[in-house]
Parts: sequence; structure tokens; C-alpha cells
Amino acid sequence: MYEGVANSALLYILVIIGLVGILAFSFAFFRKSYKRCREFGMSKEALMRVIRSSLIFTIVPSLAIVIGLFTLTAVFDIPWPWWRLSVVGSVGYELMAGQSAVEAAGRAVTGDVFVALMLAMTLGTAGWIFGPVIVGKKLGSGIKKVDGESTNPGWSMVLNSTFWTTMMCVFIPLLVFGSPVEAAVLFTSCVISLVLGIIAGKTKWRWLSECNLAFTLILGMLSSLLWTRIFPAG
Amino acid sequence: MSKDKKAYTLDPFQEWSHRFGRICMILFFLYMLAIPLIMGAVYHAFPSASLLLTACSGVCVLFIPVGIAETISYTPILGSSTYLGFLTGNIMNLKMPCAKNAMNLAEVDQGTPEGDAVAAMAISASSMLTVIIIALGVLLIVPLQPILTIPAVQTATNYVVPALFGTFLLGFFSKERGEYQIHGKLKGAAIPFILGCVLTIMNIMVSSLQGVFILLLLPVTILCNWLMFKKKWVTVEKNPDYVPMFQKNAK
Repeated sequence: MYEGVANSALLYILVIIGLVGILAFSFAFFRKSYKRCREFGMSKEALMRVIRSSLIFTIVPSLAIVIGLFTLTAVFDIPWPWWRLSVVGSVGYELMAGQSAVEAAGRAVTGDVFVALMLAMTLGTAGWIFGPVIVGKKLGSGIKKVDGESTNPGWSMVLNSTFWTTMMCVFIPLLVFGSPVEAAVLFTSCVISLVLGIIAGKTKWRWLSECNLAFTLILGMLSSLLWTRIFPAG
Repeated sequence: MSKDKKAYTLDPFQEWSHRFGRICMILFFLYMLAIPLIMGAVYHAFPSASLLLTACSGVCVLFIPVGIAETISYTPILGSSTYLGFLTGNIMNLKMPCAKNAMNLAEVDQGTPEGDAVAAMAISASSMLTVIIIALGVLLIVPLQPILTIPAVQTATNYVVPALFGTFLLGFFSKERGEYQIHGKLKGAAIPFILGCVLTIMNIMVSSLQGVFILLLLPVTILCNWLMFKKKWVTVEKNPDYVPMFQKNAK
């Protein structure tokens, strides 16, 4: 009964319709933003560099999401994890929410339990959906309003940077004091990024600047294999 | 520094993305809810109220506040592409670095109309590719599973966030490449950073609640920066090396 629901053709169809909608939504943003960038005077070549770099960078984190998909399919079969990992939340959220809902249900997964889990995982994302709907515009324009149309952004620019600063002040201590492996990977990737930046600057290899983030990510992640051997408990 | 404050009007792209983004977010949420409801109706598998409450309570109590906190914390960085970012998910490990990297490459400032357009372009391209890669993962699940589930690959993928933050950390020490540069931003970060370290060492700040702690530390960072901005320890200067995009285009 549960397998019949979780692996049904209907669920596949509903998921594929939703994914087409997500692709259309993303494409609408892409088209509009590309056009606006061109209006700002950015060359096609410069925009292609940005797009290429974004796409190259996306591959590795997306593979990590595919690994999350394999984990979730053990409980939810294929279509539901496919849908969940393509919209809202993150791999971490879906894994935790799925596990938490299964434990809360406290019994074998049957058809009605599966539907309850789907509803729970969807309702759990309400904060990420309604947050931007309610405060998205206010937060963006509220910060920009600080200096109005002033020619020098002044305080608004500092204020805008405080969000990124705060994020660093939360994440860096969590990574540094969290585990020795995380700290080592953090510093390794910092050094790799610096070295790649220097090489790109000296050689004027533009492709290396574009791929700096992607290469740093891959090499940083690979360094974890070394660090987990040195700090086995980390 | 000019003090001529006028009413701020949003760029047409920003105006469009707020309107379109809001409508689509609500429509997609309704569709997301519709999927389990349709499945329940077609397969006569509607859960009882008590089962639904039990399954939902833990997830909703924990994750809805986290979602709201993350929205407030990350929206000013993502700008008008916040809708796209949150709807397609994976903010910290994908969308945020993608947006930052794109703004850095295009040499535009975060929070400006140019920065918003560039970030949206990068995030939308990234979102489309992610949807395609996951779809390929589903299609190739049989041949891919043995490769992607070997221990070395699984270990490496556990360290996406620290590997990304290495680049961010370096970027944090570098000067902005856009039209304006902030001088003395490390001074403004000192107190919140120390506070972050203390809270982590005391095991008060934990990874699962990072969004909440960003929200809690934010007033401290704003206050420190505001005081230092008033004292001119933190200043904003025009970037001497900045070349406007249309001039670069003309070269």
C-alpha cells in the first residue's frame, strides 16, 4: 500500500509538473535579470563569464544533493525525495525533517503515514516560503532607504555589509571550534583560494578566476580525506 | 559625503522580482501542499488528525522558526533574488556562494540594482542546473549509486560548507571590488566575532540553529558598526580602481 503511493505514476507526474514550474520560474528570473544586466551596460562576454562560473560551481554541491537523494530514497522511494530536494530547504533539512517525522509517527510507514510525512515535510518549510513573502521587499528597500538616492551610499553600505559580517561571525566560530576536520578544511580552502587567486593574477588566466570557487570547493572537500585520517575523531 | 536624501524608488527589475516572486512563492506552496492532499484523496490514504498532528508538530516547531530567522538573516544579502533562492533551496551550500561569487566576478556591490540583477542571474542559472542534475541523478540512480556512495565521496561531501567558507573568509579580508569600499570592517566585526567564539565554546551556539544566532548577533554587529561609523573608524570610500561596466564594455 505504502509503496504503491510512494512510487506511483501519479506522484511522478505531480513531481514532474512541479519541476517544470520551478524551471519556468527560474528561467523567467534568468531572462529578466540577464536583460537588466545588459541594460546596465554589461557586455555579453562578461555575463557569459558570470554564468559559466556559476554553472561550474553548481556541479559539486548538486552532486552532494544527489547523494542526499540516495539516502532519502531508502525511506521515501524516488519521486518524493526528488521533489523535496529540488524545492525549498536543503539536503540537511530534508534528512532531518524526514527522520524526525518518521520517528514522530512512531509506526511502520503505511499509505496514511506516508501522506502525513509528506504534509509534515511541506508544512515545515512554511518559514522559508512566507518569510520572504512577508519581509522580502521591506528588508531590501528598508536598507536602501537609509541613504535615499544619495550619490555616496555611506551608512547603508556599511549596514548592508553587517548581514554578511554577522554570518561570518556565526559560521567561522562554529567551524573552527566545531571539529578539527572542519577547521582544517576551512583553512585549507582559504589557502587554496588565495594561491589560485595569486596564480590567476600573475598569469592573467581569466578562466582560473572564474573557476576559483569551484576548484577551491573541490580541493577543500578532497582535503577532508587527509584531515579525517589525521583527526579520526573529528 | 552627500546628504541629499530623497525617497528611494526600486529599480524596475527589483520591483518586478518582488511582485513576481511573492505571487509565485504562494502558488508554489499551495502546489506543494496539493501534492500530498491529491495523493491522500486518490489512494484513500488521508491521515487521521492525531497522526497528522504527531508527524507535523516536531518538524514545524523546530523548522518554521529556523526558516523565518534564515529569511531575515539572508534576504539583505540575496536582495530581490531571495524568492528564487528560498524557493529552490540550498541557500548556504549553493545559492549564497553563487550570488557572492557572481557579484565579485562582475565587480558590483551587494544591495545595489546591479548587484541584485547579477545575483539573480547567477542563482537562476544555478537553480536550473541543480534541477537538471537531480533529475539526471534520478534517471541514473542505478549506475550512480555505487559510485556516489563510496565512503571517500560521502566523507568529502560532508565538508561542502567549511570548504566554501574558506573562500568567504579570504574574501572577507579583501577589499570590495565594486564602486565603493568599506574601510575598517574588521574592526566592526571584532566584538560580534568574539561573542560568536564565546557562545560556540560554551556550546550555546550550535550549527542547527545558525539562522537564529545570526538574527540574535545582528543587532550587536549593527550597533558596533554604527558606533564605529559615527567615530569614523569604519568608513566608505570610492574604489579608485573601479571602472563602470559600460566603460569596460566600450574598451
